[in-house]
Amino acid sequence: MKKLASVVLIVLFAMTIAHAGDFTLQGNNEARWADGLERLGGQDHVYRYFENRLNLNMYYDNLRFGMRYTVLQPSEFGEEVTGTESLEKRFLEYRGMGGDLTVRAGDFYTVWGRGLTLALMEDINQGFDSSLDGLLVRGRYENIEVEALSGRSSQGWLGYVREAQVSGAHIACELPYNFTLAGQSMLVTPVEDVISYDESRTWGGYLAYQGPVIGAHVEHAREHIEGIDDEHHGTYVQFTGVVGQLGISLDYKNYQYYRYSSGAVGGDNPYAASVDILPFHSAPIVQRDFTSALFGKHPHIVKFNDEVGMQLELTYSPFDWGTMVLSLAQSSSTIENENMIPTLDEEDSPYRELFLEFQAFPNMDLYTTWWAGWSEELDYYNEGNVRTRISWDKRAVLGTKTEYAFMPNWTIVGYAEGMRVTAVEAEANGDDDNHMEALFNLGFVYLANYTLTFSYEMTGEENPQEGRDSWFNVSGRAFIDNRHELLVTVGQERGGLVCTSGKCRWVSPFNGVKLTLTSIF
Amino acid sequence: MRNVVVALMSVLFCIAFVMQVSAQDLQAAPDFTLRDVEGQRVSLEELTANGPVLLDFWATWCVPCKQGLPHLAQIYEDHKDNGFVLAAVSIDNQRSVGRVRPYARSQGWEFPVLLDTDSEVLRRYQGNNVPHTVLVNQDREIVRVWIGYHAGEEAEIREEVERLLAQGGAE
Repeated sequence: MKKLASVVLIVLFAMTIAHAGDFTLQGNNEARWADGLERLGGQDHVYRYFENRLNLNMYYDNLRFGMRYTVLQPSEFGEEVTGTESLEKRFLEYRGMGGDLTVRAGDFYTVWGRGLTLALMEDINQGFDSSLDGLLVRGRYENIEVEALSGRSSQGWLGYVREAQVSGAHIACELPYNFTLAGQSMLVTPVEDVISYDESRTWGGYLAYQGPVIGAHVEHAREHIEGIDDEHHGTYVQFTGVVGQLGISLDYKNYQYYRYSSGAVGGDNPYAASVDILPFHSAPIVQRDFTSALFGKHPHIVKFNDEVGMQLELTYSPFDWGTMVLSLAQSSSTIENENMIPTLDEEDSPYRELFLEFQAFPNMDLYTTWWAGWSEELDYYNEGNVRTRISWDKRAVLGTKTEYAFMPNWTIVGYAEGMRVTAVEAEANGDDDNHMEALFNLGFVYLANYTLTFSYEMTGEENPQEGRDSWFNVSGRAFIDNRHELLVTVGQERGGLVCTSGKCRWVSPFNGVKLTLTSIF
Repeated sequence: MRNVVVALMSVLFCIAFVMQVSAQDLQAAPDFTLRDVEGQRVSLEELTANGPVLLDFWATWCVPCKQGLPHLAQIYEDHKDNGFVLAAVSIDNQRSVGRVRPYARSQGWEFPVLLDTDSEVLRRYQGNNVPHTVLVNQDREIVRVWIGYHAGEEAEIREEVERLLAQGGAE
């Protein structure tokens, strides 16, 4: 069916442009290849992959035809894609009325508000894709914006695919005094004969205000799952403000969504991490999304079915040449004790995070950034009627990255980061684990187009699961003809958890050669 | 192995075809209308009304982006009176879009900061990741693209902008 629809769309577009001598064709291509050994399950395995994604966009007047041709043979971490499956994405889009009307048939993504009701998105690095294949209509008239959609989802994450028909509508109205009010509704109907969702209905809405100094956004969504009486909902509130050179944002979350998946989210896929995924909604995580290379390998994984939390982020630029960012985040479970604000009670699985970053440009030749972070997380679960601690981790990190143009056309880049890890084992098991981890990079950049980087990482952990305690690699980058970027890495990579927006996957330790060629046409 | 060769050949064929078509002239810059952090709608046509525009796709969570933007802001300061516009297009999605305005205002940026929350405009400009920087002339054609941020890149960008301004904003 998808193949037939693709052919129809291509023919329609071809017929349209056949009468025109003038149309624009643009595209990009990314080819990735690797050959070496990876470590999985305590053993080394031969690891090879070849991935290619070709994106094409063709424009004629108000029409746009887009497609993606994907070859994963084999894939880096998911299923193989070849043959008829390679025409992975395709759509035909019409934009009219000065951009106020959009009609799109085929694959599409969209986000309503902050995503508590609906957020269709793709994250290639995570192998996550919740796009719909159907019809999207978006229109705007004066102060009212309306969007309606219907389509089939083959939502997948690391090979775990479930199918559903998704329909919904969103209306937003700009009110006087810079207020915006919006309402949304979504219906998910399972597709028969496959592992699928329960039928669900989600209603939501938000009220937002954006003034010259302060802003606010309050959003709420409620979901009803067929056959389940429990209430499921999510609430997100954000206040922002700007005072001189100080930017402030204060976020609050209270998520009690239905838990669609648990445990082995990716089925038998060894790269899947145990993460709760919201298939069609994707709420803000209310903690710092990116911290640093080492700190970021041990993130707090948001429990969208049971979490309340707050985050305060301050950005201060006292000088033209420097910026400071301070982020404080705290969260805990909400359902067990009906907490409305995050607590530090151990049995509520509290998580705390502090991150401070300073970035400076003292002169045209020097750039430096320094950061320090600290986090603590306790994780409890119910064993029968008893709350039992399963982990207690503490981390403290300090790092810097400095670039200096030491002679015309040449820049040296240094990166150093150290992290103290304390894993307090469950009381029944006894031993604590205290160790240091460190990462160092030294790079040389010529004319911004050629880069050579040496990287060394080590851990003081006893019997690390990666099978070694240090990793060394060399990488080179060339930007050719302003259109092509070539990246080559030779040596060992530690891997670890890679997380984006609350979704994580496992990157296995690797020893070998990796090559990436990105081209823009 | 045979399948890999066939796949590689078909991909290379597609690339060659596209390069052949696209190499003829400067490509038209895809049109767009986005909201800025103040809620106003801004189009590419408006941005190029008086001269070239540098579209810098970035995000609040992107460290290299925040490293490169102050350099671009300096180029804007030096040439804004000549019609040059820098537009910082944030691809922060619904999870972090609320942080864009506090960050931008704390930096004292006077150039437009636009919101592309579903990365649709980034995809139209053939970007997969940020930073992704595109120089568009007054005729709304793509003059040059930079992938990522790399030390010293700002000198190249400044050179291209000044060359374009010397030619009157169009190629």
